[in-house]
Amino acid sequence: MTRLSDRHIPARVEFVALLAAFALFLSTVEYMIPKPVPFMRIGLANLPLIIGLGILSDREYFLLAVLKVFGQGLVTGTIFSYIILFSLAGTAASTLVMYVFYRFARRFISLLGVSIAGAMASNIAQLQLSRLILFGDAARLIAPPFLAVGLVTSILLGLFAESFVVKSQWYAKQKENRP
Amino acid sequence: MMRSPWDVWYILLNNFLSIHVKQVLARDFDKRLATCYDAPMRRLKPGDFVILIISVAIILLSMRSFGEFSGKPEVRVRAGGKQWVYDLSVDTRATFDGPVGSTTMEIEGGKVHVHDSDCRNKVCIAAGWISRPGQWIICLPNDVFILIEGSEIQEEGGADDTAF
Amino acid sequence: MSASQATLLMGILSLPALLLQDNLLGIACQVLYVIFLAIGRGRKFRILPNLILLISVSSAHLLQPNGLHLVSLGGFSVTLGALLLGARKALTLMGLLYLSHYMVSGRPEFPGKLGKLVAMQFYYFERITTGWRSIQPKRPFIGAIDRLMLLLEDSGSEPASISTKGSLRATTRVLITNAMHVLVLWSLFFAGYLGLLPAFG
Repeated sequence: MTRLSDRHIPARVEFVALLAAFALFLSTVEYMIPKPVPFMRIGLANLPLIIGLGILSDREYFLLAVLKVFGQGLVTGTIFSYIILFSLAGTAASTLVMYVFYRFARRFISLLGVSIAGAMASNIAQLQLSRLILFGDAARLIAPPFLAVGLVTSILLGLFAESFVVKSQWYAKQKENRP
Repeated sequence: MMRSPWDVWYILLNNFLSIHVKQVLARDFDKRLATCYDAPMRRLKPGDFVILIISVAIILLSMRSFGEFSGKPEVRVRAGGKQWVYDLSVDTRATFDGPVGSTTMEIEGGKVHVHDSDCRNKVCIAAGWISRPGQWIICLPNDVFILIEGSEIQEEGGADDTAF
Repeated sequence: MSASQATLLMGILSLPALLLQDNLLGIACQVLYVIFLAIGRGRKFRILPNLILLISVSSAHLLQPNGLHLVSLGGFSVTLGALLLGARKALTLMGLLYLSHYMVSGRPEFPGKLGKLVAMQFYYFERITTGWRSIQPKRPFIGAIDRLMLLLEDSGSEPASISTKGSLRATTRVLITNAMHVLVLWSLFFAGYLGLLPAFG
């Protein structure tokens, strides 16, 4: 399944790399969108992680998360700086939360709820980290606007993902192939 | 068919979202973008609203901590016409110069004391530790005055715990 | 060892020199140095994001008063120690960021399975960016994304193997200049550590 032999990379893993590349593409798109507030992010790059829930196996899903963080760090050149810690903390928290919600509460929540929960987890993790390495106790002051902006963007992202899952032919095809 | 209050709320909210959000999106943003948000409205589930409400609650709770910064106890030190300020909750050690020599103050575990002083009678060292807002230590010969400032100023106890 | 790996190694050896620096002037010099290193490798330096970082981190530290009282802003005291501490922290973060930019500027290959996967990820990344332009996306985006993904999957993959083996002489030259960078950054650390640079506050 996700085992790599030396010469040949299996099709499934290649598919994960494709999704990870898509995340990378979305983060460059996000980079080009002007933002009024420096700490505001839309989190477009999380779209593959939301969509991937339905078409990837557990191991593939977490591999996607690792590749997303690593690839972003390399593309932006931040892999050896503090920024990679934020990326890592945020992605780890949101990935875990979204995974748990999707696997165990699929009956009660749609991708909208998954997206909101993931964004909240990611932002809380990043706030805790900013308390440790950037702002100290003052991190509490930026918490409300930071979380509120994250909530709004995650709602939009969640609705988009839900809509994508319904309409996309590509997704439907992948859903059938899911191991 | 009986509907629970929750069901009614859910249907109302769902209708509201599918009608109003769509209208708002169609008006304020691109119309074609709005069609992206057309399909999922019907697919939302009750858990989505639970998560949304919890998230809003977390944000509201996070606003509460705004007030906590005003009343934090601070240690103010006056020496030689200048003033120094320290956070009582952060362990530090600082030395101040006066007419007699230097006086070293130490903050540890939310308490302050004079660790060392060049004055003769060492009354400031003997004063020991202070920790509550309103309490103070003074080293008269060296002109160093240490005061804890904060919101909950205590009237009593000053004379017992501190000394000239 | 390739030239890009030498650059990577230089960065790893220099990281502690920045992290352990306690002296404000020392870290400022180190930051200036790594910024020039990054600019030398074609990295853009924009003043605004760095200024925002410097100001936000410094002002956040003001909430924890420490040291000489400078001014009061509405019952809130601005202290020298807090300001210096915040500035030092912000500078450390800036230094790490630009050192990181410099370290990966040679696009080093990472070893192992993960390195191989990342190479594949970049291969697809290139293809997505070129593919996205070629399909001239129109809203609704769902259709456009759909077409793009189907397109990528049909054509299969042929990851280009990038060989970065430079000549031995070029690698030696890179090694020597990088060793010099390490030396400069560490001597700035020791200058601060041994009190050769003036300390504020």
